[in-house]
Amino acid sequence: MKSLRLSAGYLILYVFLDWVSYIHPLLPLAITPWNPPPGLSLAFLLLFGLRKWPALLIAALLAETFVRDIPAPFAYLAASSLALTTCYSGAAALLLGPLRFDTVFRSLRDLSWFLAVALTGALLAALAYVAIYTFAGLVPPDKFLNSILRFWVGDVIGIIVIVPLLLVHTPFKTIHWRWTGETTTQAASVALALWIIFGLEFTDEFKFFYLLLFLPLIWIAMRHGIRGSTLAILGTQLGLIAAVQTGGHKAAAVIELQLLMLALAITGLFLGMAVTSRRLLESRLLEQQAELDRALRFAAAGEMTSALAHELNQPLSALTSYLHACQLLLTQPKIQHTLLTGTMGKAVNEARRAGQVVHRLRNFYRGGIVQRQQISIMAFLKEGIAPLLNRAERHNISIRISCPQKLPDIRVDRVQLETVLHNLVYNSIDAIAEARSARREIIIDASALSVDAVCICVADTGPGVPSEVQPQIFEPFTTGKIDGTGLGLAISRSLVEAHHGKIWLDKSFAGGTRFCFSVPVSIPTGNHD
Amino acid sequence: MTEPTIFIVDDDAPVRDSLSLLLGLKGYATHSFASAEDFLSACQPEWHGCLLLDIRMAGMNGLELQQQLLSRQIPLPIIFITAHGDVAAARAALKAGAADFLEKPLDDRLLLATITTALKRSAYQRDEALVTQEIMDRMARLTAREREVMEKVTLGEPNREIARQLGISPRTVEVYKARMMEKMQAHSLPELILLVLSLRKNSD
Repeated sequence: MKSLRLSAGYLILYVFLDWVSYIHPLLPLAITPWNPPPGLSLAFLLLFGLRKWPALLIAALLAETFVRDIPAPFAYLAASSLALTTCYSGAAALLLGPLRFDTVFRSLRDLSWFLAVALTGALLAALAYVAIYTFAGLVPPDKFLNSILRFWVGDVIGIIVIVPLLLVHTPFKTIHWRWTGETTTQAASVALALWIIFGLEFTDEFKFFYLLLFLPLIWIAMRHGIRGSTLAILGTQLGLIAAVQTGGHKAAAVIELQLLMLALAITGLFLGMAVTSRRLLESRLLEQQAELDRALRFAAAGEMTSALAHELNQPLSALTSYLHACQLLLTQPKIQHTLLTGTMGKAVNEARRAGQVVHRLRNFYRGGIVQRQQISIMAFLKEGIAPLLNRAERHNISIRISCPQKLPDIRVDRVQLETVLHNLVYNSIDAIAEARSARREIIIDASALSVDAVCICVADTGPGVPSEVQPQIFEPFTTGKIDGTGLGLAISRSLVEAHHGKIWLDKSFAGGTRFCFSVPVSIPTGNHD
Repeated sequence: MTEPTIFIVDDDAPVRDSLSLLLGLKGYATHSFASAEDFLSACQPEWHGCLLLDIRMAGMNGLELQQQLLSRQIPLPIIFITAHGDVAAARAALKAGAADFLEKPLDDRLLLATITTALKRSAYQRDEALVTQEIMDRMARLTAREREVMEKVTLGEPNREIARQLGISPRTVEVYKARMMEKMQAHSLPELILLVLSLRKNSD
């Protein structure tokens, strides 16, 4: 049922696109300079599977019959529709099969293969289509090559504008797109370039001005990667078409405009893809680094625990034996007071030795501190969660930071407090991911707590902390995760306390978990350390 | 040193001291060493009892000492004690024949039970060794001829056949046989066979 609706939607959209793009047709075959339907077909197959190919055939037949109104017997219409279907299904099969094309569309390799297949597929389609109608007597022999060229370029443009656009912006991928002032300026710059080229009389004769269109495209691609560049390409193309339609640009220039569109699209796609794949690589590296840091920290904690166990077990073992010996001494008929007193003294020494181990450990942790530096809360929060953004995105979780402007800067050991923030957000991601919550959101907010402290809270939409675990949540080795060490919150607590702060679980928070910790703010006059 | 002794090898002085005090009060003879090297240089073949051995020590560690004792064929049962719950070390120790592996802090009841078992094992081994030694002593007193006769008798050969093989008269065989049975302190043929068999089993 869903599949049927999907195919029906595709058919309607196909016929509609064919109809709206029915501009400047090269009659009687109705070859248009900008032909998006094949792009729609290819994207449809790539996204929903090759088995949907019959829909392509039906769509082509409908379009040939109702939109283009080609004066040829049905057999020719059927043959041409079949030829188009074969070419584009073949292109999709080639991409998905031997070329192992990834529809996530995030690498230059995928882009290159896609362009190669699009060019070849459209050429074959053009040859077959024009040949069939030449056979039907609709194409004069002297227009044969010209028709092929027009058809080919028109289809290629349609494909390379539409397919990347749909692949990159499919509705089932999360889109983190915020409309900012910069985006508005970028859109305006596209419009400005179009106006300079087509609106001003004196620029008509200078093809040189076409280059202006590349500037906003490059800007957008550099800033927004492939997502931005596909939209910019679409906008530029629509603008070009509108300009040609309204401005009555010389019809002879159609092929020039086509080539301009092609150059714009290919440039935009490669630039956007280069930016995107590089950003992807960077964030992957960042994430790996974060994972490694975390692993090392816990390995260090594990090593510490092991050493601590050894150091403590020696005195405890001796202490146990001494005390047991004391018991035995007391049960003897004639109590040897000197031996008993001596043994108890030794037991006391062992207890003291165990105490010293603990004392040394605490000093060790204290010694690890503190390289305080002044930093704005927003910067601290942003940089603290940066390594986790990818992980959050993978689990479809959005992270929101809310931080009032007027908060003072904080004065902290950045590495240590970033570890705390990192731990809390990491836990939140795990909680939401494992619980499969419907709302998937982490909210980090900062607020003033007192004159000399601010409070940073991390709230998630996970299942929350079970009430029976709450009292010992900060104790070492308390964990609700299968592979958890139970050290994250314990370490976080000691780090926060080393800053004379507090960390707590917000029990009044309903609908998830909310941890808060306080941080000292920078006081310009006094020396805080 | 004829009574079984518990040898304590640990580089932590209070651990050594408290263990020897406790075990002394429990009626065991104890002997402490601060390192594996000290123990090895003092070790005598006739020592028996068991060894309480720490794994992590400066210098030679517990597992290395275990190997040394194995190669010197000193059959003291070893109870390892460690402040690290180290699975790999425990596995290595037990595979090399350790009697047990205990974690510090020691549970005294468990320690005493383990020591009892180890001492029983040690005593049994010691008895076995004594029996074997006794039989070998008896056998050493046989002449070459008596030894030949014993081997053939235990294989079940009749006197006549033995006489033929050795080229002597059946009557002479009878004389050798009687002298051999006397030296081996065997009252019957089955008893003799049992003695020879136990020797073979223990020497394997």
